[in-house]
Amino acid sequence: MSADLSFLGPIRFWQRNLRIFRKMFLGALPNNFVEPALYLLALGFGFGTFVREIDGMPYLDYVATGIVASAVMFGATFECTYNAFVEFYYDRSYDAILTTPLSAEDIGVGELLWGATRATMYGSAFLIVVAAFGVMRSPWALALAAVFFLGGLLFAILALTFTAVNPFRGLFHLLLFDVRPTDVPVQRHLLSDVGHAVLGTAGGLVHAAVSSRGHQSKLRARHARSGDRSPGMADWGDHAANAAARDPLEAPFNALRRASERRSRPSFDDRAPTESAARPSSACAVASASSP
Amino acid sequence: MDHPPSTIASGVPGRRIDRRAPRETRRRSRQRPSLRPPVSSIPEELSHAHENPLCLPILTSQGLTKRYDSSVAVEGIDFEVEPGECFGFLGPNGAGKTSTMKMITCVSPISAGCLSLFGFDAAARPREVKRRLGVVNQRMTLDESLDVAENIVVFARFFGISWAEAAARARALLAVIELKGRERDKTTNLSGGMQRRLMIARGMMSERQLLVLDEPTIGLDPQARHIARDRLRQLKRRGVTQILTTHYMEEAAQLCDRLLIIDHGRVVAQGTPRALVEEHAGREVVEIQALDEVGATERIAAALVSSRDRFEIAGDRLYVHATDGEALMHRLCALAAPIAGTMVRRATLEDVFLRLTGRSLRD
Repeated sequence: MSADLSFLGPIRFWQRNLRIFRKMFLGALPNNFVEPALYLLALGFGFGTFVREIDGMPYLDYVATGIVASAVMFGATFECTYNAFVEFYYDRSYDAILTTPLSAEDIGVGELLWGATRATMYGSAFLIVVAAFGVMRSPWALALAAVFFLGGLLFAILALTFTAVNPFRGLFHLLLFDVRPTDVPVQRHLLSDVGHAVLGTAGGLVHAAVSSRGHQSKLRARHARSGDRSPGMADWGDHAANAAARDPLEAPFNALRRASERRSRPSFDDRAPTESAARPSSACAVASASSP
Repeated sequence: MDHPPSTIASGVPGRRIDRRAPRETRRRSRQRPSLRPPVSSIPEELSHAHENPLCLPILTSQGLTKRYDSSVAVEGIDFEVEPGECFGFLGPNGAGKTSTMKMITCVSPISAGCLSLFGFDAAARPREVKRRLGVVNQRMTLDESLDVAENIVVFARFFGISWAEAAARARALLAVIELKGRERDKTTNLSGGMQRRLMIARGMMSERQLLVLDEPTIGLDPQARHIARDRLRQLKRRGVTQILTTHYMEEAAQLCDRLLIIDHGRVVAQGTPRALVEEHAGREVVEIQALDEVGATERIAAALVSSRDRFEIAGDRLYVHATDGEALMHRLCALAAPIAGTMVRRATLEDVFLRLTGRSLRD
């Protein structure tokens, strides 16, 4: 079965999500700012007093970049696991939407775009807090929003795939409540189309996310060996595309670092009773009632 | 009992009974313009659905099949739905009603067979089909995170209706379903009846040609159920074709022009409610309560065998489908059968249903 994706479908689905978000925007807002601030205070200023620098980088910078990157990851993941799951199994809103001209693919892609959007919002809020702590040293850091979107998109794909393929109840139990997957068309569609295409990428992503830091230091070592400590612009483009494909965590991480170091400009080319006519029983019926 | 029995006896007023004969008669009736709803009552949108919508069935299903991994839910069912009629699906739980609805609404892929709606192949062009469909799901599928008005507006957007137009339609619709002034309420604060009305309104948002309702009155109190049925009849008068599933037999008898009884994924019977009752349940039903003694039911059954009426045994009760109930009772009386009580009543759709699908529990 080929994918039946329209251009406007995902956008309309995205608009729906935006409308829902606008209703709870004020409730979600403070949390977006308080969380990073707590992290920074606890790690940057608390734990940070014991650690001066890592990999030749001030510890606060190191933690700040990590917090922003993980916010992007969390924003997209939460949106496409928890929220998408509730819509799948509890609200059944996808069931209703599927009866409109929107296809399952439209809903899937719309959800991914929304996940990426939330990641961008989340990451940006963290970025603002981080900036307030003076970690940001270049206005170019604002361009990171694009990197947040791409990184968010990758984690949204990973998370939505997980939500779609989660008939392995036990897995999701850990994260959410009781799961009883039945014939959920979106789930099937996602499995047959988007899911298969993405599963491979997702596997790579998990690996990459886990080995993120190790990869990071290997990269540094390679640059050190080649004597080039600061990849040039073209090099950076390749590197960003490479890193985003393998490791969405690293893309914003690197970009933020570079932006703050002002060495190179990030480029982004890259069922009831029935009526019975109860008639009075005949004399016969009454008589028969008393018969043996 | 919420309806006078006369409603059942007369079937659906104003419809000709000759449509009980399956196919040929229907073909003939198709050529009689008098059976068609007046053209003026048909929404404008219908006129450009295909070249001659009034002469073609709005839905044709041939060998429609739905297989799941380990079971077959629907096993090759054939039916046609003509414009302006109300077509009902009856069947016990798990008979394949909802699976059929899901295929009609292009939500669940068709395993085999052919389904065409408005002249479009449902498998190949689901968007074209869905654009013309109004659907009311069995489960409550309102968006809880959106308020009452937004539920309609957001849905209208999915049909490509502009924001301004969608808002205007939401206002008009909410006035019609008597939810004016509750636009900004959460859907969870509405009563079950209001939620159903809202779902039906959402399904009818832009004068769809075909309304598919999967148990539209489930979970409603008798008042709300009557109002909902009234609304559905109004819609029918306006020319909206309806396909519905229900577990309320009186509802099917009142609303539907034609019925399809399915069980284990196969069509068991098809026809107008009245024709079905006449064919499968006879004119009258005699309910016999056997005396509480060993072998009473068997002795009554033995007495009944001599008369040629069909009967069923359910526990210590016997249901006899008779053409003349009084005569039967006199005969039984003469035989001195061990009877505790009897009741003669008119045969209803429920008798047909239970006869055809059995009395054992499903699920």
